[in-house]
Amino acid sequence: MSTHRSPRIDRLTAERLLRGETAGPDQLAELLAAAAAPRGELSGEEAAVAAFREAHLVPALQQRKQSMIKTALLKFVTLKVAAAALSATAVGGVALATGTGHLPESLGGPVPSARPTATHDIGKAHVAGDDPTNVFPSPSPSLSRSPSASRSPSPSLVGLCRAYQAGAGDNPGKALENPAFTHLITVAGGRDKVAAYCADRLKTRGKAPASRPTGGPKDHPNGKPEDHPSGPPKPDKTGGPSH
Amino acid sequence: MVAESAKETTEVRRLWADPVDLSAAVVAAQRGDEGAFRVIYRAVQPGLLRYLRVLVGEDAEDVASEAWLQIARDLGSFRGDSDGFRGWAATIARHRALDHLRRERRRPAHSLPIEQLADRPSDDDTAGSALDALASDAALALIARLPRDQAEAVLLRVVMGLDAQAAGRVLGKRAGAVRTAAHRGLRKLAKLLERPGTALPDGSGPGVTGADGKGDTTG
Repeated sequence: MSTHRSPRIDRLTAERLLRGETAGPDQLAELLAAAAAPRGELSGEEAAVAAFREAHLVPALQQRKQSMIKTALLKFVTLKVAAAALSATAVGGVALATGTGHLPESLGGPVPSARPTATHDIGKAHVAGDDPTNVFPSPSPSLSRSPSASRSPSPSLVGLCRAYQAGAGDNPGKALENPAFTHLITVAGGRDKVAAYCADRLKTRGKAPASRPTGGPKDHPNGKPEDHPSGPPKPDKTGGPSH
Repeated sequence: MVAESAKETTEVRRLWADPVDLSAAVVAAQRGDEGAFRVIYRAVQPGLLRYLRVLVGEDAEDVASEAWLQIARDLGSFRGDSDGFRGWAATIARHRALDHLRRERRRPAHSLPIEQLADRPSDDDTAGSALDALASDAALALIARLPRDQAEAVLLRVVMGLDAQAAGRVLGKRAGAVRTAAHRGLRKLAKLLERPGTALPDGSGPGVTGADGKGDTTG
């Protein structure tokens, strides 16, 4: 039955093939269908969903951190103001501080608006898609996203994973009881999934450093968020065997 | 109106279904709906992975997960419809792949992983999908033998389900250029299929005519 045609394909036929239409049997059509036919290929779903969860959890977490900082700042400023009040120039001091804008900011007034951490990642992402009419907010700018990547939540998770794996050897179940891993458990989608999630995560990460010595950082200031300062301290503090 | 198809057969087959409309899912996912994000993933990932297979070979899964990390992170900034989303995802995946290739180039050896695709029967050895996998891998391996611009044009249209315009945006080219590249790719594929030994492992059977097809101009 194979009415094997010569490979002369006119534009119309080509367009129809590319759209997934064909008339009659044809090797080329079979090939394209084989290329297009979906099968499994969803093994990365949980990791992708974890990334999605992470992206939506981060604002809340950062907000909490932010408010802690604010509280600390507020205490500090209160002390300072009290000290200032004790001095003879109390009123002038506050006025001066207000004038320079330091006081309100440290008091927490404009802090949320000046540093909208909660929406920070999204804000950054908008760099790539500033123009809302642009259907393709070309991802190239965000690919070289040094600022955004350094704010990526991944490093801390990678750090948590490392901490978890370091501690898991002795007693994996116990290790997860540490409240420091709550976030990790949430992102992984459950206690029992942490090991797999971390193995997956660190495997993916682990590949990148291989190319680093040759000059990864040079051309890819973006791709290596592992060294983000906010990553390592967390696990050090919480996952360390010293505690 | 259908005169051109009438001369071959009157029956027009759909080789594959139209891509699922993701507009609603995208909006829901942007609001944080995890289920919607899964819908998107399941709809887009297979095509994305195949596209990446041809670009980066065995590392496709890794590059795909990098791409999904970014998609998940930047989803909030995306504006557009379903087709737009596919194109956006493809663009992200493509940039990740090119980054990856740049990194790889600095490494020694490790070349042409594509050629192994046809021999390698995929990780899941379940008998049912093995043949399909083989056919699909073989198809991708064949497409991977095209010049890259042609391979990408064919894949973005066939596997990612983009039209010429959208594919052009992914590739930074005009629709006409993408169309031309895809057409050349198809002609070249047809010629590759004529050679003995390049038949797909299932379905089309081994009866590939050998040398009698004249073939058009050599690309």
